[in-house]
Amino acid sequence: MAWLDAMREWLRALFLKAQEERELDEELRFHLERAEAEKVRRGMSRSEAARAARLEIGGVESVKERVRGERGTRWLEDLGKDLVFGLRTLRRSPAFAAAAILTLALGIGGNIAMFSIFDGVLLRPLPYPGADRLVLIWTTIADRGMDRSLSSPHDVDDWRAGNRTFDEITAFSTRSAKLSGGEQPEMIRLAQVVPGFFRTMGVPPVLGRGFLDAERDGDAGRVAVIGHALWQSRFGGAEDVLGRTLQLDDERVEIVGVAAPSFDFPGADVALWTPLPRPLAGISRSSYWTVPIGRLEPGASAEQAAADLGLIMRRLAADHPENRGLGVRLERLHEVAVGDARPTLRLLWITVAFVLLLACANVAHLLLARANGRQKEMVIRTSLGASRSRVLRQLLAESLALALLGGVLGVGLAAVAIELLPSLAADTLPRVGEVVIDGRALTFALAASLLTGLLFGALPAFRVTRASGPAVLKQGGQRSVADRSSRWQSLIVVGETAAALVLLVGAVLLLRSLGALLDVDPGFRPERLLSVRLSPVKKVQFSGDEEAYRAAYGPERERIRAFYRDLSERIGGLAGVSGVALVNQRPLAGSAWGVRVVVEGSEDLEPTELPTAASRVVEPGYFRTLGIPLEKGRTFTASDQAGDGGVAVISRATAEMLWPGEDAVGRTMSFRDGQWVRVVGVVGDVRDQSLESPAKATIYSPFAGATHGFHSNWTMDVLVRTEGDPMGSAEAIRALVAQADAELPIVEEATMSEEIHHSTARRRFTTGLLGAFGVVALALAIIGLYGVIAYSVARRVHELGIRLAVGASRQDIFALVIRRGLALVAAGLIGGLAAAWMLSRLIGSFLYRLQPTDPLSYASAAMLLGVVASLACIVPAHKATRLDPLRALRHE
Amino acid sequence: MSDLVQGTLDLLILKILALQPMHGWGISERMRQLSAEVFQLNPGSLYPALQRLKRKGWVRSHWAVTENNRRARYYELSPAGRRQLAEEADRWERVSAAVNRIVRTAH
Repeated sequence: MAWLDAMREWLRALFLKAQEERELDEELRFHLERAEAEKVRRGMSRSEAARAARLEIGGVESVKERVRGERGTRWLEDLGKDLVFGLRTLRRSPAFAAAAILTLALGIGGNIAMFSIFDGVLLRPLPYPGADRLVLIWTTIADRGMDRSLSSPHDVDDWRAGNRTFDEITAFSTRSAKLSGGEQPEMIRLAQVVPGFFRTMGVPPVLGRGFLDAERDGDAGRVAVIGHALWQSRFGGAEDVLGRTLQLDDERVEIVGVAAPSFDFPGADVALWTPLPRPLAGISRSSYWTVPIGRLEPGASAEQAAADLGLIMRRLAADHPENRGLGVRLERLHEVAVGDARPTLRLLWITVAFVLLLACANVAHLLLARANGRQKEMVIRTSLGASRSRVLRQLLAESLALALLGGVLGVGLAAVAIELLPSLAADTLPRVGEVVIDGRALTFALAASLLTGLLFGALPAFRVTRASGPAVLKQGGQRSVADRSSRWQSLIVVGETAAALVLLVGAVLLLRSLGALLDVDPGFRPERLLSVRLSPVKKVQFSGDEEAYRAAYGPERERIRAFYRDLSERIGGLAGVSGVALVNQRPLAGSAWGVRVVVEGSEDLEPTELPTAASRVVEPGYFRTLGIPLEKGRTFTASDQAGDGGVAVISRATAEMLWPGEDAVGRTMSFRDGQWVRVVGVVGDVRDQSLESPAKATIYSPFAGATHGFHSNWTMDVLVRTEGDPMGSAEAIRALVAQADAELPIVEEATMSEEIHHSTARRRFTTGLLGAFGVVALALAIIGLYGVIAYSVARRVHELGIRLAVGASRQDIFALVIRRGLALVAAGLIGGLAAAWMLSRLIGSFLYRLQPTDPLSYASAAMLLGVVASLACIVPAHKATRLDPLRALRHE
Repeated sequence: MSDLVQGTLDLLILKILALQPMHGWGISERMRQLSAEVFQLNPGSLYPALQRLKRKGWVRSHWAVTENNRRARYYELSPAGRRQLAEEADRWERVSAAVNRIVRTAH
């Protein structure tokens, strides 16, 4: 292992230099002594021997120098000395150093922050062991046009039993529950999981155990694994928590385990886990409400696993007709968690890279200007014997010193930005809490600083050492050399202007998209509209007797309906409330049930050929309260029924889809096997999913007689239109709910205007950041432009003085200076427009109702930049007209 | 000494150290003896060469006391150095044989 010894030597040479020098000295002294002794032995006198030995060695210091050269640390030591020298030079020009370091810190810091964000959100594996083998399993329902549906627990159990490509499959479903027993009762979120969950995720409980298979049945299922945070907050982290009980809704559950700290799958608000009850044979298989997760066997690919499960599904379809047309779709957990953040982060990183380029350009300007003033120094150096490459290395070291200082400050800036990140972006980017500045980010910071230093330092360093010898040392000689470098400066400024324009175009495009989006009519009136989601806990339990179950189902539904009606009447009677509506799922609450619609004449079509629509169940008064306009026919009355022979109200999109160009009122359709309903009214479209997606075709059914559209526990959204601030009435509404049923938990309270605001969160985040960067880029480009023009005026003072002396007017001087500036701006604008047009594809997916080559956006960005840039040119031009010719002539 | 190519010098030093570990002075004396006074290795070439060999990991050094009770730095071959010596000796055989063949060709 030669390299081990070699490494040891190298490190000794680097860190134990003093000792090495002492040893070398002693060694050579020893050699001298022995050489002397040998010569004395041969007959020389002492003094002769001493001189002869010394001659033989030929200069102790030169031998030492050659040994030092062989140590292999020379280049590093030289670099270190150059860096220190560079820092000293910088100290002598603090203004320049400060400007350069700040500019660099901005550019490098932004990239460090982006790297950390990219790393923490996208690159780093999820915090579960072997997370790259975790996949989510979606059920595809061709019938309903859904390719990402939740799954039926029956199917999950069949997959668990029959698969050959998974180590383990589990599933979860979240719900809210009331947690009491202890101090204050509170609403919490819990996850019901299939036993094997903790094993699948790879994070076993730190105390106790996970669930047993037997705990899926009946009373044995009254157990829970509590989250670490809950353990601390409710039990003070007591060791004896196992065996104690909690009150969940109306059940007492026993604690059998405590989860690991910071484990909170599937959501940051999950407080505890309970077992998912085994699906009973009598319950329909077509209830899709769990999310299965599987851990692939080592070596099994997702494709193989999908094929495996698909085979099981086809076999099931033979025995169970309701499984026909079902398939599976696998998606890596990592992709689901972070996949859709990728385009946004990529865009932001490109933007920050542009900003860094601009920062480098500005610092290069500063260095070029400074370099022109150091021509004399360089010529003297080379004439004293320094090789050109040595001088070059030293200048580059100066640039590196600047860049490293900028990098250090940049790390600080990035750290601040990351601190602020959660409060700005928690609801737009996943995993923001996991973003930190760690070793990787610091390594990136170092690399970025070094590269940046080389980037902006190379050109000035080369230009400085290009000195043409003695000519420079003459008076005024520096000027002629400087003129050549001004061409480089012009080029760089044009590049800067173009880059800034690209960013500005991007910012304007995003801004206009955001504006267009915020203008979209959601189809209802969201202002002062409060939504309260209620979830009556009492379920009709299936205890094995199917008939009894069916018999109890109908009356139970009526009881719940009466309860809701009564409650909504009482809420309607509150002061400050001007309307109440009930719906099984409010707008902007996520994806909805899809149904396939059959109309007369299309009964023979295959289910997959039928059109789909979203289905809602509402109480009368819904449309009026929400402000959804009625376009044809009528809305529901108290006596309307759903079900076969009943009625429905459809949205305009549905009418267009089913009976284009005809009157839909009076037509009949079916979206539930065998149940035909008559259309009595057409209402306006509602943007149900998000402002961006076009309104889906929707079918509304009255509550009375509806047999579909509910989960097993009758969840309804109560929408309340208030006259003042909606949250102001929330308290009173909560009181009414508690009065009606003390045990009834309120699952969610939201104001619709907030929900709409929230749905544009990511877009606003991206637009805001890009806009901010655009402004920074604009500022940097303007500073660069101003600097270059002002500098060129300063250099031409002598020449301008001559012109003034021979009769040029102030206007001529002004025109002379500003011509150059405007030419640079124009070139930059043209280059920028071209570059933006070529890069426009990248931003296409972020735009709403706007082409990435939208001319108005390009024009306005160009105009903005053009105006500001021209102003930047006017100032130095104006200053040039104020020159005193006499003083100018005397200027070197 | 300037006739010696760097690689050949390395080979000679490695060989001398293979016989026994010794200090710099010892190496130069031994070189003189073994080469019948042809190679007079001066410190200006020896010590940089030794440093080079150390840097490549073929030679290690340690301080010890001589017979005269003086401190001196002794050098010895490392296992990698032994392998390198064998390789270099081999190469020298081939090269010198080839040179000899050409030079000794009667003309």
